[in-house]
Amino acid sequence: MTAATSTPGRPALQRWGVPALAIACAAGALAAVDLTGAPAVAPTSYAAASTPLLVLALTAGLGLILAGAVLWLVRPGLPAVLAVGAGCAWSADDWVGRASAPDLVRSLAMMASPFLLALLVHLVLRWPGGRTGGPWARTAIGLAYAIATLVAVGQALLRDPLFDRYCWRTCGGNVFLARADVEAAQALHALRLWSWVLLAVPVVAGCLWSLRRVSRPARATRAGVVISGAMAIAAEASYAGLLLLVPQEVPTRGLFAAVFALRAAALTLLAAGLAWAALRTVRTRWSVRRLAQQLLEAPAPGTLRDVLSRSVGDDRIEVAYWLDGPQRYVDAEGHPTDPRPGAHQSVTALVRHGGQVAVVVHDRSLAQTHDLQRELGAAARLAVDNERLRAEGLFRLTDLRASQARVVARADATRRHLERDLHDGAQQRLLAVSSELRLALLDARRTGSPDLAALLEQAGGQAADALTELRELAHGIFPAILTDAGLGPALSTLAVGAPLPVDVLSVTAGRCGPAAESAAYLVVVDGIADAVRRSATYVSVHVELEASDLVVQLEDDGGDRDAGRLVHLEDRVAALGGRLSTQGPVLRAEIPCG
Amino acid sequence: MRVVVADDAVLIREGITSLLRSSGADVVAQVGDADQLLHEVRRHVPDVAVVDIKMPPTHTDEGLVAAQRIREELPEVGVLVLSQYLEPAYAMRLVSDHPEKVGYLLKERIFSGEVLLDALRRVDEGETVVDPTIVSMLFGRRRRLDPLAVLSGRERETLALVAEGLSNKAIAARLVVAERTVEAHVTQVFAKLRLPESPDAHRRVLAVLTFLRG
Repeated sequence: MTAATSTPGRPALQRWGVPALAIACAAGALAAVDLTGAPAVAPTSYAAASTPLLVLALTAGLGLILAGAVLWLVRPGLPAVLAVGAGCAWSADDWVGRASAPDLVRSLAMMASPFLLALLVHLVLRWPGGRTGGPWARTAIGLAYAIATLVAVGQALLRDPLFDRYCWRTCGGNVFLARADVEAAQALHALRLWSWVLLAVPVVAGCLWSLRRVSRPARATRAGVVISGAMAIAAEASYAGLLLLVPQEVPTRGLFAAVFALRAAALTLLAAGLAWAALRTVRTRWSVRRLAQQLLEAPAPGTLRDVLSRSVGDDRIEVAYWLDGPQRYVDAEGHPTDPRPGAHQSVTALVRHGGQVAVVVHDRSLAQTHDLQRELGAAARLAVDNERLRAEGLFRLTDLRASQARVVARADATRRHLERDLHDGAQQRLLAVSSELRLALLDARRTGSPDLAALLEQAGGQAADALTELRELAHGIFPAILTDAGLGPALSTLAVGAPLPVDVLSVTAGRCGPAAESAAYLVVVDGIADAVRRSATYVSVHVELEASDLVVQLEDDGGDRDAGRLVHLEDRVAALGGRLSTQGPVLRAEIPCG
Repeated sequence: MRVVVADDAVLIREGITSLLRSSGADVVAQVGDADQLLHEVRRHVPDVAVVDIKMPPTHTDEGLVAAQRIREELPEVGVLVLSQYLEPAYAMRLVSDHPEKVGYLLKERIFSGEVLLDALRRVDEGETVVDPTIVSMLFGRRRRLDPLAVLSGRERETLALVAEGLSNKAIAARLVVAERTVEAHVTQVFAKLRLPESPDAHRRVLAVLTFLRG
């Protein structure tokens, strides 16, 4: 069995490319700072300003890069690349201020730095499990990148740090400079700062709002990254805001140092959030493996859904099995079902030999850890097979029951119709004949034809006899009083006309469905006939409503029961989902009231 | 005697009407369902209404329901219910609701002899009428300990006539004995069967039917 959306094996380059990049970035970030030197008097980066700031700068940068690398190994994808990128962009500022670095490196670092916010916005808005994939998210991401590109390229071409009156990281050495334009460079700087402030507000608000609307399993994996990411964006915005108010940045000044510490702390938190998400993925995978083991060892049919739900922490998960014969889905109990994904849900089909055997409806956030599907597919094979077989059996049983019940109901309806037809047809006509015979008789008497009168009287008598026979026949086909007045009066009449003493000791006054009442009536009719056959001298009858069952109990003093003679009653009762049993002199039927 | 006839089968309705008219009864209206029946009964206030037990719309117990309403609204109007069902339950329901001036007769018997006219007359005079077929069916019931075994032949005859709704006077006429003899028989029978002897001649019908059916 394979999952329909299995992950193909990735080439080594793809698998190790991002971690290799991350290691390079990390090495670069380490090289960007002076680890040995004492804090500088006029530092050209925050890392160089004091040891605490150095530690914070490195923790944030390396943390992001390493978290991205780990995330890639566990769950390759865009977020991991973005995390590594954000770590690099963060460290770029250190390269800009690294006086001993070649000008080319410092110029490239100057271009990388403006992308930090765009990378963070992208990471947070594209973090899986949320509903931030809407058009406004795309717009925000696009805008952030466009502004970052504009600022990076524009400043590379137009900004000569020498003419920047607030320059402090470097005041020269832009190798890409085409034409120094002080005003344009200032405008681009202002654009960067304003855009960071203005973009941050809706993005942070949107992230926090999106958390309110996601499903419970998704929220657990989402909250850590999204909240810390939003904090990092807010910290970057506050940094930009501070620069708008106080253009001259001095890393040793308390306010600037504090904001830097805040930014570093937020990024470190984000790194921790990413690492935690990676850890969670690993944990989920382990629990699925454990589940697989569990299923291989003791697959208890009917419990797969619950075991699955517990393992992956998704209480809305559903498993549906496809039955080729009836062409429909059923659940583990064989009840027809329609596996459709609800809000925040996806459907994974389990396929074997090109044919679908089951589908799992699960939370969309689980689909992002897409090895779940593959591993479940391979591991739960036995459990799925077992449960599917059982579900199919149960479905067929239910189907058979329903068809039996329909047959019985149709037979009942036919008898009821026959009785009605006799009543409305033959009986009425014969009554009309009787009435005409009677009128003719009165006429014959008036006109003094005694022979004719005698003949007519005889004919009238025969018509009356025929009517009596017809009435008995109709009653035997179906007792109308059963439908009209229920089991009580019907059984009472049955007892009065029975060929042996029948004591109806109790009959429930409650009514049940027509099929249940007919079956109960038939049990008593045939129970009495059986008692007569076994030379009983009496029959006692109880009919009670117990829970949702109509319970009919007959007791007599006849000889041993011959089970074969009651088979048709057993079938009849079973067709309604009931049970017929005999115990000594007692015949008992339990019929769902319906 | 003024009569309203209600039966949804036209042939039967016409038959009953012709029969009644040829015997001198005045059929003031014939109807096909319970609503019309109530309407005509209120309009004509007949002596007796002859009512089919099953009528539109549901063909179940419209006749019994109509009988009950007529007896409640117009106590002077008797009701004779005609039925094709040999069901003591229906007869007992009719008698237990309003024991006076009601009757339950099997349809198959109304065109033989003077059954219909007799029943109408009895209902009109205030008696209760229970079809003898029902009574004999109840008498024929098999029992483990037959409580009727303690009765003499005459007493059983008397009991059956009580169950059919006859008054002591009518029983006396039927058995060709003095009314006082019948009274003595009835007292004796009720004592033997441990039935509370009701002073109300109508209530005793239900008591006897209930006893026989139980």
